[in-house]
Amino acid sequence: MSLHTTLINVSALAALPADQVLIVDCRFDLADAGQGEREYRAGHIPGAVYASLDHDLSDLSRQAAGLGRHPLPLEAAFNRLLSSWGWRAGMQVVAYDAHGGALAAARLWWLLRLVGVPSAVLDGGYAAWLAAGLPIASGAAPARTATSVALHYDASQVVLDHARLRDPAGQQVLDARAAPRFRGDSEPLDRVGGHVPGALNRPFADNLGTDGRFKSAGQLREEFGTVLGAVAPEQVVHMCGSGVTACHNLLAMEYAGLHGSRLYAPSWSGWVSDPARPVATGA
Amino acid sequence: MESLATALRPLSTPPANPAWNHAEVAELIGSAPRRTAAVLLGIREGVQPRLVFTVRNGQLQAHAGQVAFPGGGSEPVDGGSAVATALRESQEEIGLDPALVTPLGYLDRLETISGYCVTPVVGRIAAQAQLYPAPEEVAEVFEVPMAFFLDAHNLRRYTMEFRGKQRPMVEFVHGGHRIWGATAAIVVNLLHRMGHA
Repeated sequence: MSLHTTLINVSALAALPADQVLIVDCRFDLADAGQGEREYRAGHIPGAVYASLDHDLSDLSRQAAGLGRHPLPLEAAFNRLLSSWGWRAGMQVVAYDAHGGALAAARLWWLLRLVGVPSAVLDGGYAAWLAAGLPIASGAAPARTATSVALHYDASQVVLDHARLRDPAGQQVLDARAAPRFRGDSEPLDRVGGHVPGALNRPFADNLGTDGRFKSAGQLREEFGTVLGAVAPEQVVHMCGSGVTACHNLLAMEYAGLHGSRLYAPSWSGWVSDPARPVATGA
Repeated sequence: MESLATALRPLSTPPANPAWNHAEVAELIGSAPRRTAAVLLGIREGVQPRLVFTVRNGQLQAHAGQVAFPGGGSEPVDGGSAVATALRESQEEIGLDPALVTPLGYLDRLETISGYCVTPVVGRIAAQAQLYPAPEEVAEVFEVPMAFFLDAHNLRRYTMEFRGKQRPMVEFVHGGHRIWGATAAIVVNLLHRMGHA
């Protein structure tokens, strides 16, 4: 059995031996930072641990550095997180959430990719698990035996330097936010609406079908092709509001066989932290 | 990693004596026949390919506490195949399932001052391989990104006086691990053959 490296469906997850898998509940509500963990305690996939977007998958203390609303955790902190979960090389890691993978299962999937660890997002998320009538557990996270983890961020997977984004040579920015925010018609979260000049828009919600699952690889390939035209996948730099839902687009591209795109982790909230940076509006 | 394929000696032609450092080792321990051994340079697949190392158990007679590749002396059961030796020893020492290894080729043989002639076997390890150190032989298994070795800044060269002569040495320090001696020399041989270092 080889590892699932993009998506995994409910039946494949249910068939995995419990000691061969690390399941991570990544549910998060941007309007209420404690909601995801409360939902986890109320009910989760048996054996799952919980990861908070704010506390585990981000380092909010670094916001002031212009790294955006959800700065990446430091490498050492991410290693400690994996260690506390008892992660070992070769395990199948599965992340799930209640937003089709966007909040924040794909973020964990991408952080693991950043340290070279393959993982998969549960297609359809927690709702699909429940719909399949599979058992759930409740309460605090199960105790896990800590492991020794010393992985490294691969700098080639991420863009942190804002100036790099202004160089149009060899790259294409692709923004995962909803069209009204991209155009600058309305901006619920950030200082100003709009987008990085030259960016294209691919709202992450378009990656999902009406059933909340990812569209087929073939369909995604066609749709990304329509947006990107002649741009090669490895030239694509993803962004969104804070480097979270952009991971959903990156995951969708990998699932579609469009390999090697990168993430501009600070994203829009990092970009507009310096008023001197240009802002484009309209389609 | 594309350069890897062309860097290796093909599986069809195992390297033959003498080892590239035979003269140097002969000066220290003479020319008595060497025992044959093989090690596995296992590269775990993924977006960040990583090389698998062991820390040898501090109680062992040979190379105690040192960083090494999994491997050991050949046995009759190996039928003279270095690949068989490397895979058998890897299974014994770190629980690596041979079915999850794709042998790719060989590096140049090298001799150790402990009297072995070692054939390094390079293989790809499937991402899902789980490794468990056999406590009587291995204290720890760890992995280092290939990118670390491909960065020339991480190769340290120094000289060490041994038996009245200054000898050139190489080492890598990664995290809390010091990779030196024959293990570092094998890594440098790989880098040379890949056109680095």
